[in-house]
Amino acid sequence: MTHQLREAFRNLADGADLAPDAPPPHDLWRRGRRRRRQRVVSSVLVASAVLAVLGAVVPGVGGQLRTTPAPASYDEADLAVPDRIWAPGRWRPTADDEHPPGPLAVVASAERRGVWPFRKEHRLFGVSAVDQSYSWLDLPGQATGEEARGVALSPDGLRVGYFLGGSPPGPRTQVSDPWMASEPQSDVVGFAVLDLVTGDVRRHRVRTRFGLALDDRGLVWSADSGWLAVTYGRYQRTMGSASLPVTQTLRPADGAVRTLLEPGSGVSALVPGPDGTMVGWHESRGELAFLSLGTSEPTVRPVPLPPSDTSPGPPVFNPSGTRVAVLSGRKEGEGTYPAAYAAAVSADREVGDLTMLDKRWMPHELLGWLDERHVLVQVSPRRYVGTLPPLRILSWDVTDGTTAPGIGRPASDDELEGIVLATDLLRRPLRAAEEPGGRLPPWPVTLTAGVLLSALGVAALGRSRRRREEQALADGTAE
Amino acid sequence: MSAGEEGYNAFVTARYAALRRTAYVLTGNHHDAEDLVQTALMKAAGVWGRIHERPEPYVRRIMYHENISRWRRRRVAEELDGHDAAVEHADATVDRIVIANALARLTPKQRTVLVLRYVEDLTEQQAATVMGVGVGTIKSQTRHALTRLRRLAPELVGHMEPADA
Repeated sequence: MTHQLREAFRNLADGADLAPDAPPPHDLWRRGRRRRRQRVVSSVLVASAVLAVLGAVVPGVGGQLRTTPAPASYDEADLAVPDRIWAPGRWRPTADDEHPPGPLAVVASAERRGVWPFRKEHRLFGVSAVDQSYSWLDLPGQATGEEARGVALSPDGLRVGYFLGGSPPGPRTQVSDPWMASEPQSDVVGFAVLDLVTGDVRRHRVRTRFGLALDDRGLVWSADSGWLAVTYGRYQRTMGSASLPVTQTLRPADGAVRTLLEPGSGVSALVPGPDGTMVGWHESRGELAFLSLGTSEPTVRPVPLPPSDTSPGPPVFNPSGTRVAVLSGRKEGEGTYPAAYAAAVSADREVGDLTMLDKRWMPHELLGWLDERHVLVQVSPRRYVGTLPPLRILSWDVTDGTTAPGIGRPASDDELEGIVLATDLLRRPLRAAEEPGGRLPPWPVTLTAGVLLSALGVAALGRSRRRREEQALADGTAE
Repeated sequence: MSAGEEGYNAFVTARYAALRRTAYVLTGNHHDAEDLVQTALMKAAGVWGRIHERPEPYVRRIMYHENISRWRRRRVAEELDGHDAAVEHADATVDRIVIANALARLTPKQRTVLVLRYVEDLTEQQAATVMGVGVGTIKSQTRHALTRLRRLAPELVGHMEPADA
């Protein structure tokens, strides 16, 4: 059969020769090349259109990820601090001045992974005092420098203070050493307060040519949340030098700004004190200077800290101002170890005998008082076999020295750092918290990504198949 | 004129008639055959840089696939142009008319398989590679095509050995 079939086909093919013997068109090459060019152009146009659609869709999706506006009303008595803090997932919503989060119980920073793999950054987030939900925070105009990352949450959880960024007008500092920066030394040009309920921002810009010089204790709220005290120096033309720090206070209610401490006061840190005071801390002398926000004459009292090579940190007062806790150090054998102390403060502001946190714990930070006798202290075990001892937050009863779990947190500061609590709310029972979602993207993002990936996969598969076929044919596998 | 264009023109001049013969068997009429060959050659011009060393398998492959695609697009069975056949084939043998009409009633895939196997003399494996299908598909398509041919052209099948099918 096959022979006859071949004969029949050959016979049929001979019929092609019956047609007029027309030569092939002379412009096949030109038409083919032009067709190819048109396909390339159309592919580029389609890709551009896809990108344009993406550009339009992605911000829309981003918009959906923002928080809904802060609750129009909430019962102030219902505000609470959660009993545990997590690092939020990447896909938690973002809050800012246009979408304020409402009262916050906690502000901290955590690593937020980007949409693209391997891209991640430390970002600020807040935990709602109303429902303990999480949102990333975009503070309008916040300075980006490392030294300006610290923020201050007001004790009532209704405002957050931060440093403003900008471009100092001074000329770039010229230095002879090429390894030194020739940019202005800082992008900090002022400070601001964001109202977390209304979204209002109260900004105060400082006249500076080279930016402001900060340390990590530059922002402190008064105990009544009425004033934000800001300490800063001004960078000068000579590389690295700055003026002596000045402390100013900003009253968010009306934007009033006044100077609290002139340069050269010797106060290394300012903390909220009892009875409408701010307390200046003379770190080098171990003295407290009680400053009334209304008068300028301080009452200075020494704190009887034991000898140590460790500089004491800023003290923290309990709500009534009758006790104070401070981080310092303690000589032990050849070395000095961090230690946490607490002492009673008498009516005439004399500081009494110190009690010390159990030395099984190495204290890192004092976070605030839960009540008149319990202070929250972030610690790690002193004796720990391993490279990175886990962090935990303890409630330390300064009257009898006992400790109990305070607020739960991830064990590593790689995951979570810079915890600031709304200290007024600590006086209330902690509220049981649930782990925030946001590890997985919401469905619009998943759907968009899925459709795009599928389209790309199909296109790549088709292209790969065509190339393989062409290659196979070019290699003669079909023959 | 570039070297690529020169090589392309030389290929077209040398192989155009042979390609048209195959296209004629595939399509069943002169007009579609010309169109099919020219389309395949145009596509070949676009990728000449990659195929210039062995262009003919690529062009033939394009012809097979393009023919099937056109049929899919039209979604109607192609009818052999009876008038043209009668006129153009006035001096053709009876067998030629019979097989042309029978082929026209096959699906383009079945027709392509028969062309690959009995005109191009490809093995089943080679035909499968060209069609981008499995060897089993080539076997079944061949079997179905021959069965149908027997029914459509008993005159032709009369010459065939049943066992060959």
